[in-house]
Amino acid sequence: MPSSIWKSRVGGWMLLLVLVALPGTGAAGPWHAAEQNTSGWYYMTPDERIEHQRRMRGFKTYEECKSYQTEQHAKMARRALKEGVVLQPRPDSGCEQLRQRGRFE
Amino acid sequence: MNKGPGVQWRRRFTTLALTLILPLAVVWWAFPEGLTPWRSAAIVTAWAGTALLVVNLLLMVRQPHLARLLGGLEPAYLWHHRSGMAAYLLLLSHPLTLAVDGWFEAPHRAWEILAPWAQSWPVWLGWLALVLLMFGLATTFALRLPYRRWRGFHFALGLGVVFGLAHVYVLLGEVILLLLLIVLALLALGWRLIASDLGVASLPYRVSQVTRQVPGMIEATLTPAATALAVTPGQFVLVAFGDGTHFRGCGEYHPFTVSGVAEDGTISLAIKSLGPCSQHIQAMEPGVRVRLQGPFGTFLQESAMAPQLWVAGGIGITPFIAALRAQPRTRHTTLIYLFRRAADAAFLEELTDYANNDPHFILHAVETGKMPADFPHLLQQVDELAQHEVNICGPAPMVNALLPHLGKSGVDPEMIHYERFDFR
Repeated sequence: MPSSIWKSRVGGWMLLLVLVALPGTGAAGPWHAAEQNTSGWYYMTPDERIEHQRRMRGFKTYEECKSYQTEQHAKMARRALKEGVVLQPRPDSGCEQLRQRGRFE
Repeated sequence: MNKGPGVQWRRRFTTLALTLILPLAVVWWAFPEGLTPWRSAAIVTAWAGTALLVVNLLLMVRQPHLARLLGGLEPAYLWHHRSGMAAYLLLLSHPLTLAVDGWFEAPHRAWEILAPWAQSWPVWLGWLALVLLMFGLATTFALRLPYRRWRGFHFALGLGVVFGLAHVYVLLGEVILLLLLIVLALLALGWRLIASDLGVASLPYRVSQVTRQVPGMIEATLTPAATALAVTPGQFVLVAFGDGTHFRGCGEYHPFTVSGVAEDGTISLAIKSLGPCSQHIQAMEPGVRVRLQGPFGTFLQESAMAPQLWVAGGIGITPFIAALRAQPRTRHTTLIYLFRRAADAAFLEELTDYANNDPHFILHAVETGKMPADFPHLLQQVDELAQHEVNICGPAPMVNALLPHLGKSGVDPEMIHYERFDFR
């Protein structure tokens, strides 16, 4: 077998191995904001949900996350109250989930 | 180049595996948990489409080693086109599945998700990417579009990928796998634009001789100005003709099969007037500066020890004349050379000389006029046809017409190889 073909095949298998090993390099995929981890999810517009998720993913520390979250919960609580609903933030919030994933410094 | 079914299948499998492995790995990594089925589907389509876009960029890199790994530029470009289409459909379904997810919550939510004015700039980046991809892809189906315009529109696709990756980056931030995808995409785009299109990875040559072969076709001999490319007969190079004393080249890279390879590194190219650039090149003169990339292709390179049947149609004669010029035939070789008019048949005199002087070489030169070739009759003239290895180079209709007759004659499909240069 010509050496160039042999080298190409070895290169191909090495590339395959690297790509197969890739998923193991991260603890998990991106965190997603959803009803289960976001108080007032149904009182947010789709654009607000995207922005909320984007901001949550961007925090470097747990304190920053909690500070934003407290403000966000209060805002959503006011919206819910206008419709006569009292929101109860869940203990397993986005900040807690992100901390469990080791996303904060 | 197309080999027999076994080799073809292996090469297709390799290219398919390399095309799918990155999207599958990325989807596996990014697969969401705890979301509604439609939102999960939207996330999966987004990641699969993004990874396929990166694969799509990798498949357009014109690099000889990568091309060899993918079985040649031709299959790489085929999968480049397929992966681009698949990526676009997946990415188009991303906002649509998100809208379906919104519909189950409340119908007005679906509209809020799709209406651009209800969104902000991170989402607009995604929409802009989709519009550019749609526009760029639509032009790839316009086969009659002049090459320059087609190439210009193709840049819209590259821009679409950049906006698409920017959309994901803005939404996700510094996620390691996304950064890896962005690096891969930038490397592929950078290589293609800087190394290939701007010619940084090309080698300088100079036109040392131009001969008029037949009307509408010249043969240019190129002498290396520095290092010579290691080209063998049957391969092709990407060539950009620059300027000379009285000649201004088009500067675009076009593929040309070599018609001659000399030991001192000079190579010859038969250039037929087929488009605006190749028509302009007909007026070329010695001294013109040229940039070369390659070599690419494996046609005539993996021959078996069987007697050879070569079938050439028109300009498809070039790989065979290069092989004949390189060295005398050591195996019995029959060449069927098909052309419309004798006046248009390039290298006919030279081929006749080879046939008269080389006992291993038989030439059947056939003027077909506007009629299709009578392959049953022509193949009857080849003794023990079933024992031959067949190499075909010519227009697609000729190749397609010949293949069934070779099958009926008992030629092993593994022993049939053909070359078509129909990529842009």
